[in-house]
This record gives sequence, C-alpha cells and structure tokens, in this order.
Amino acid sequence: MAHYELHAWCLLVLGWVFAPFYMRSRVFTMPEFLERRFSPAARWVLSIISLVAYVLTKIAVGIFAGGVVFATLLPELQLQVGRTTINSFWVGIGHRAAADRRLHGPWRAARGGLHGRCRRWCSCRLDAADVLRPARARRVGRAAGGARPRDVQPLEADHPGRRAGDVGAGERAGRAWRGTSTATTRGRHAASRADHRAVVLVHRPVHRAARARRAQRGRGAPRHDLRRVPQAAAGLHLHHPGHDRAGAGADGPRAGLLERWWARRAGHPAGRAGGVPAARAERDAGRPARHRRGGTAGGAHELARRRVQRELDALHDGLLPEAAPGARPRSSSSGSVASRRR
Amino acid sequence: MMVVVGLAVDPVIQGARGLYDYLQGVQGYLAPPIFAVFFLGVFMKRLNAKGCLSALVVGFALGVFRLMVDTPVTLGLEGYAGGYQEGSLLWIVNNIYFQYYSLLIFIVSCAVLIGVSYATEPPHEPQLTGLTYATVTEEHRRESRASWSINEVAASGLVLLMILAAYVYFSG
Repeated sequence: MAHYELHAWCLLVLGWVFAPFYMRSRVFTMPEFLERRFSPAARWVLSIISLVAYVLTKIAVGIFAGGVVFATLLPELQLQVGRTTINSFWVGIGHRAAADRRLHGPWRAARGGLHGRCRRWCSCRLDAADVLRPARARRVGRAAGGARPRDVQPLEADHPGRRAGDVGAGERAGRAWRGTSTATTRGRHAASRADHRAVVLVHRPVHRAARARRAQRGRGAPRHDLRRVPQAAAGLHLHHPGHDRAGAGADGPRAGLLERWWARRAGHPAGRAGGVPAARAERDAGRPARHRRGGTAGGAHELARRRVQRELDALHDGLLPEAAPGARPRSSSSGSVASRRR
Repeated sequence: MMVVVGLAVDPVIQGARGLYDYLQGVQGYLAPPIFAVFFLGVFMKRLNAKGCLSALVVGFALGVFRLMVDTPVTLGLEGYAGGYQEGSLLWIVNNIYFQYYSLLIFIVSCAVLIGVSYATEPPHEPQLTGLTYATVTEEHRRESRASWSINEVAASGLVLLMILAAYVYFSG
C-alpha cells in the first residue's frame, strides 16, 4: 500500500511519455484534454466524476478531520437533544451522534472513541474542557482537599479479563480503581498502570520526619529536633520513578492556567487544581527559586496523571455520594453503582 | 450542497476500517475508467468519443454500485449489519477485496472502450493531430526532442535510484 511517494516512477512516466501530448493539445485541465481527444460530452462526464470523487475524498474527509480535532480537544463536550447524546465529534461537525452510550454512558461516550489517539502531544485538552465545564475544577478541588479512604467505592469490573493496571493505557481506565476502597494505614491507595508506574491517591497530606535545619537545631536529644517535611500532598499522583518522594505529583506551573483559575474561584486553598499540593508552596517558601533537577514529568506523564484524575472525577460525578463533613459514607454500594451505570 | 453530502458521508468514514482504507477504496472505485480513457486514448488512435463516453459511464456506474452496496454494511443499518446473504451477488460485490474490484472496473472499462469504439465509426483523423502516439508529426517530435537534454535524463535517473533505494529499504 505504498502510496504516492513510492510511486514517483508513475510521475516520471507521466512526464516523459504523456506530458508531450498534453503540452501539444494546449489544455489546462484533464476534462479539456478529453474534449479535444474525444468529445465535449466526455469532458462533462469526467467533470462530474471528478466532482463526486472530490466530495467523497476531499470534503467528507476534511469535515471528518474537523470532527476528530473536536473530539480530541474537547472530549467531554456533548449536547443533549431529547434522548440523543451528541458527543464532541458530532458537535464539531454539527451532526447527530452515533449513540454508543449503551456501552459507555454519556460521560464515557464522549471520550470512548477518538481522542485517545493523541494523548502524547495534546496537552491543552483538559484545559479547554474546563472552559465548558467549570464545575469539574471544583470537583478536582474537592478530591484534592482530602477524600477519606472510604469515599472511593469499589467499581465492578465490566471486563474481568482486563488487567486492573490499565490506567493510562486507553479507554477504560476507570476499572483500575476497583481496589481503592481497601483502607490502608498510610492513607493512600495505589493502582499500578500498564507501564508499572503507580498512580497513587493520597487522602490527606503526608509528611515525613526529618532533622531540623542547622539554624533551628537545639542542643537536646536529636529526636526533639525533628521537623515535618511535606512528602506528598492530598490528591492523585502519578508516581515518578526517580524522585518519588519529593513532591510527587506537584505539577506546579505546569497545571493549566484555566485549571488554576477555576480552582481559585472555587475556593481551593492551594489555588491549583489537579491535586497540586499546598505542600510544595510550603516547602518552597522562604527558599530562593531554583531549578529542581528531575522536575515534574510533563507531557505524556502529566496527561496520564490527569486522565486518572478525570476518572476520579467520574467517581465523584455519578458513583459516589457527596462526602458530607462528618458523615460516614455508605459501606457498600455495589447495587446502586450497578443501577447508576445502566 | 457538496458540504451536506460530505457530512452525510462521514458516518461511512467512521464505520470504515480507517480513514486510509476509506480513501484508498473510494479512489480505487472511481479512478480506473479515467485512467483507461487517458492511457488508451493516447496509444490507440482508433478509439472514438462514443467508446470513451460509454467506458467512463460504465466504469463510474460500477464504482458507485460498489460504494452503494458497501454503505449499508459499513453503517451497520438494520438488517445489513451482518452483510448480505452469503452467495448472493451483492454479497460477492461486497466481499471482493477493493483492489481486485478496481482491477475489475479497469478491465471492464477497457473492454467497453475498445469494443464500442471498434463497433462505431473511427474518429475524424485531423482532430487527433498531436494527441495520440500514431498521429504525432515530425515537427512535434523535433519540438519534444529539443525540450530535454542530458540534465533531465540525469535528474530522472537520480529519482529512479532514490525510488529504488526506498523500495529496497522498505522491502524488509
């Protein structure tokens, strides 16, 4: 199926053999040549065939490409018209959707199809989606603000054969959260991705003990001079190999401008969405800004992390009861989960 | 109007195995009669307008027929999702590999072009001056010969070499 470039020899044949005839006939278009060689009727027929081919291969494909772009940039955009869900692909080209909500539900319908293909370079996707769904940032803020261990309910696996570690691999990242309801003493839950990197849900800020700085160190026993060092902030983090402890998931300035703005509007103290901790600000306070070696993984990693974050949003969207302060979440909700997912 | 048709075609692209397959398919169904008419039209001076017209129409009709047969299956319409009844004509048309079908269109177009042309009157000779291989005058030949030199030949050879290299490189 080598196309065009590898068929350059056809072009050579055209140039050496056929071009002289076309030059001699002094025509400008293909149909004109048919008119001179055969008849005006032939010219007409070729023109019509060309028009049909143009519509089928140029216009339709161009519009299709536009739909792909929309589905990629705004995967969550959708319209409800009556009982029909119009996902972003068809919103993009102004057309009725193919309703695959039977399998994925309206939320997943928009992201089930096309957008997963270009997650490597398309970093603006979620920010753009925020424009249309500002409420999302609030939910992120809530998630970052400390979800309790039992807030995340088990999801039933629709595809038992699928590995639970498929987060970030593509379509059904949600299943990876099956196990997240098991409480751990450390206040975190982890799901491993297909590439063996863990996505960690930290329920409340985690600190580790460290020696006090020299200036603050007293003369007593060493254990009295400990200070709390922020280790991980509440939120959802993609585990970065190599610098797993220092501010994992702190995406700082890389968090989208819009996300941060919405989060600030929503009153999130950190002023950042996506589970970005106050911890980093805390740690960096009073310290000259310097380039941190290693840094936060950007690009694809960042996107994968945000993707899981969105999965968590989905939990908050439809599958979780609102976590009222002080109230105990329901212990088991597999029945209601099942009914909501129909 | 063309945009509306284009919109209507988009579900077909979505249902196809991919944009590339779709494009190759449509071009494969619509291009063969055009190629036949242009190619043979230069090398056979006996071909006339009626043959050309019928070849174009027949080839185009075959291509559109295949597209129309394929569309309900691609869309998965009610009753067509599983394809046609096995063994029926539509099933055969639907299941021929698209490149074989292109070849079929090309052969049929050539046959119609030659058959109809020889069955009807030959074209008016002066009309063809300089337009077919057999009706090129000596003056035309000189003109063409004067238009190229060793440079063009060398460049073409270079391109050929590059194509060959590409083929060799990608043959594994």
